[in-house]
Amino acid sequence: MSGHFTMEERAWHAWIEAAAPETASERQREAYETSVWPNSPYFRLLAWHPASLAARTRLDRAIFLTRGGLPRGDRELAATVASRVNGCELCASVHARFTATFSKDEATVLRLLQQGPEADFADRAGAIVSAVAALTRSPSAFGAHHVRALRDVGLDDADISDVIQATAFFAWANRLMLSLGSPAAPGAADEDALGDQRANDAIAAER
Amino acid sequence: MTRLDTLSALAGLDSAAAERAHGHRPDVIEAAEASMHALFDVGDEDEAPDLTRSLRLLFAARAAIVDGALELAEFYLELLDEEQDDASRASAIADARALVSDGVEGAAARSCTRAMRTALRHVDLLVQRPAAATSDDVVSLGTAGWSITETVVLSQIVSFVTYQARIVAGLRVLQEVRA
Repeated sequence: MSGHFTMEERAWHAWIEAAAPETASERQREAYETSVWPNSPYFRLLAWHPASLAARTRLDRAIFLTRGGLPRGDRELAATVASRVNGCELCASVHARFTATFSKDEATVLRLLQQGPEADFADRAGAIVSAVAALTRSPSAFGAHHVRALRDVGLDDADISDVIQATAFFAWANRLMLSLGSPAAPGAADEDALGDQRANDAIAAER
Repeated sequence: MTRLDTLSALAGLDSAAAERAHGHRPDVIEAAEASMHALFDVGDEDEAPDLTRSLRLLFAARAAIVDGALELAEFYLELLDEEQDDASRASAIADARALVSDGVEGAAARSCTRAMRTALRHVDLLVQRPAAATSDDVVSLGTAGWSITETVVLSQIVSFVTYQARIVAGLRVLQEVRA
C-alpha cells in the first residue's frame, strides 16, 4: 500500500458529481446538511440517496459520539487502524487526530500511521490494533485469540462489541471513500470542507 | 423477551448475549437496522427505483459471499427468493444463485447485460481490494448505464454488507469466547 498516512489535514475530491444546493431535492439537501460534514463532497455525493445517508449518519454518531462503553479514544483508534489497513488516507488522518485528542497518546497513533498495525504497541493498544487489523482484513480472520487478548487487557463484552462496531463501520466508510473519489492535498477550493473537519476537531478538543 | 436484531440473530446470539454485547447502545442497533431498510426497501420516494430491490439483494448476496460471510449471503438470497414476481430485469436475475456464487467470471454472467457484468465486477473489487478502485471504475459503471445515484446506492450496499459481515463474525467469536 503506497498510501500517504499523516495526521495532517487531507482533502477529498469526488470522481462523480456530488449534490449541490442548486441540484439537490429538499430531502437530499437535508441529508447532507445534517451529515457529519455538510460541506464535504463525500457526504454531498452520498446525499443523492438521502435515506441511506441519513441512517448511516445516525449509526456513525451512535457508535462514536456516545458516552459509556469503550473509551472514545479506543473507538477512534479502531477507526484509525481500519482506515490504515484499508488504505483510506483521509479517514486515517481524521481519526488519527481524534485518537490523539481523546487518548492523549500521539506516539501510538504516529507509530500506527507510519509503520502500520504490525508495529510494536503497548498491551492495551496492541490488543485492539491486532483485533481490528484482522477483522478489517477479513471477517474470518478475527478469531478467539483476539477476543481473549482483549479480555486480558480488561475489555468486557460491551467494550469488545464497541471495538467490533467501530471496526465494521470503517469497513463501510473506507470503501465508500476509496471508491467514489480520491484524497488530495488541501487547496483553496477545499476550505469549506476542511472547515467542517476543523469544527469537529475543536469540539473534540473541548471534551 | 425482545426480538433479536438481524445481525445478532445471524451471529447466533441469544437475547442475553445480545444484551451483554450491545445493551448499552440501543441506538446502534436501531440505526444498523434502519440502514438496511433504507438500502433495500425501495419505496415510492426512492431516488434509484430502477436499481430494484431484487438487484440490490443480489449484489448484497454477492458481496457477502466474496467477504466470506456465507450466512449473510444466504440471508439475502432468501429475501431475493421472495421477490420472484419482480418482472424487471427478470432475465438478468433468473440465475441469481449462480451469479451470486460465481460472480462475473461464472457462466451465468455470460448472458447478462453489460450493466450487470460491470456492477458484479465492481462488487468484487469493492469488497476485496477497495484501495485499488480508480475513477475509471466509476466511469465504467456510468458508461455501462448506471446513473450517479445508482452508483452511489450500489457502493453503499456493497460497503454496508462488509459492515454487516464484520458485525456477524465479531459477535459470533465474542459469544464463543466467554469471560
